[in-house]
Amino acid sequence: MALELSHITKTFRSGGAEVCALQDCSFTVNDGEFVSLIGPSGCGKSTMLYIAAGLEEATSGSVMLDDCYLRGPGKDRGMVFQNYTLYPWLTVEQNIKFPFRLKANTDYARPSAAIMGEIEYAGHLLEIMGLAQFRNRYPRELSGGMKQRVAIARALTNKPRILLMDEPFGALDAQTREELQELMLLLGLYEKTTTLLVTHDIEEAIYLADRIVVLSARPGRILEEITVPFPKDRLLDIKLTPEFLALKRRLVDLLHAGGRPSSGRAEILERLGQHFHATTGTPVTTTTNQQQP
Amino acid sequence: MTGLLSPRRPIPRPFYWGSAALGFVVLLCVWEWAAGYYAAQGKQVLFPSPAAVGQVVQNMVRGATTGQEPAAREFQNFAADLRISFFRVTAAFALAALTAIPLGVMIGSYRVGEAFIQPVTEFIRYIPVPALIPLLIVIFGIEETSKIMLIYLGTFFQLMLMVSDEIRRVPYDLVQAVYTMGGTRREAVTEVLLPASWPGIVDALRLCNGWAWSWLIVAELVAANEGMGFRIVKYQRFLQTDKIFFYLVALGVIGLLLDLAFRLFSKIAFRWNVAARN
Repeated sequence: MALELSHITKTFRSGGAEVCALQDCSFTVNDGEFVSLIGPSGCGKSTMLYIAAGLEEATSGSVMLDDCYLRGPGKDRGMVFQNYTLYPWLTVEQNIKFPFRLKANTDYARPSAAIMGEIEYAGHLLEIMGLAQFRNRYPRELSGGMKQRVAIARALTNKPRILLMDEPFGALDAQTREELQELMLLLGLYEKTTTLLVTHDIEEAIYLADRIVVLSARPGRILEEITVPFPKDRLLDIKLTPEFLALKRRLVDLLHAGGRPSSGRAEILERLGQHFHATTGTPVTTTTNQQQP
Repeated sequence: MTGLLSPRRPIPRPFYWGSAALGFVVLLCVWEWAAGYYAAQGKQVLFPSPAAVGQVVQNMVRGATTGQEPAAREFQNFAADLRISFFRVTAAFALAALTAIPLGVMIGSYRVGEAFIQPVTEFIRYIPVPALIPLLIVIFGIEETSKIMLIYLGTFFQLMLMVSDEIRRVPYDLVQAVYTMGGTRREAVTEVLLPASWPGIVDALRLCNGWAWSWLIVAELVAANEGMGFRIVKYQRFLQTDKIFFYLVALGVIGLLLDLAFRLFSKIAFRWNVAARN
């Protein structure tokens, strides 16, 4: 078992009131497994990831990695953020090799051969991610997709035990997102990276994951864990198969049942009707034309 | 939106440089007009014309090249003033940078540092620096030290607060990223916050350098026997307003050149920065 979160509860103060973001959540990520964490917006899924990374502290509960209790962040858990977080003053190659600037990686007690091997590995990552010809570019010269490739490579440079990803493709256009999803899938196939992905994109969650953990609306509780019944090596086309769509349907229903901020179609139509009626005098009916002959 | 008057949109280069030139032309016209106004009343000595100041420039050049008296003496005075003024500003400015940058980084990085230093300095900052002149002269005498201290006090507090603001402006994401790569809290400052802030810090230095020159003149107007500010007061006594204008123009040119030097440095040193390139 690589990562084990047990009984995680997180409350924070907001304007004097106690808000419960996560309530008694427990789940694990096994060695070599890809787990997606999904849930309605504001359910605390990102908070859960930050707790796993050690960047935030749980109010109660524990985080274990390889049966060791964790406190605070560390290089054993690499992280990819939604906002790229590349260092703009470093080139692509310098960003990827950034961990070697840190004391944690230039420890003189370690044999230099090991360090050399790691630097070589970072070089491989540059090639694998298709960044070789951009190695001397600065982040501002890169597209969003390229930036996120660099961020992924940088997170992998340390060979972390687990890769944590916080809506990494959320800001990308649909085409680039699929490109990167495919890259992640194939990378996972070769590198056997253990990954925990937080996303709001249900298709992405299914396509990449071996298992999906579904959180409820605030306070976030674990609604269900679903094993994805597809082989590890998947083509993007799988998203169009009936099995995939059935699973997607099930997850959509789960998320809605788990509570969604009740706005809804009827309410919007009512507001539209009132507003347009008042200003233009044009009556807008809340029924659709479908019922009329 | 395009067109010359679209907010924040670029305009063709010729228009830009043309407008810049026009600004100087307008300044010259106003100057010429004001000088003409005084000249009409027979008081041209109060407000010299551009031509009269041009004459001073010519005289200086002659003094520099031919060594003819009294032009040569005028030029030597000017060169000496420039040298000593430059020394005073640079010494005070370097001192301010060496102390304000580390303190600013501490204030911006650590809340403890902020609480410890910032409220106290906010208080001191509101004491007008010129109010300290008598005290500075009593404590440090009328030699170089009091002048350098005045310029230092005038720039140090501003610079420190500007540096701390630059550090605070770095997105916290970048710090979190370094932790997930095994970085220490100290490395979060040295490897992330500081490099991310350098362009902003250099920009703060550029602005402070301009202020340092203002404080220099204040210091030299009060008590000095050489320097740009001293010479301006001296020419005032002899009603040589044309030479005062020459010194003012020289101060403007020095400011412009230093500003340009800082910008050029930023552009070369921080190629990664979008803001520095524009």
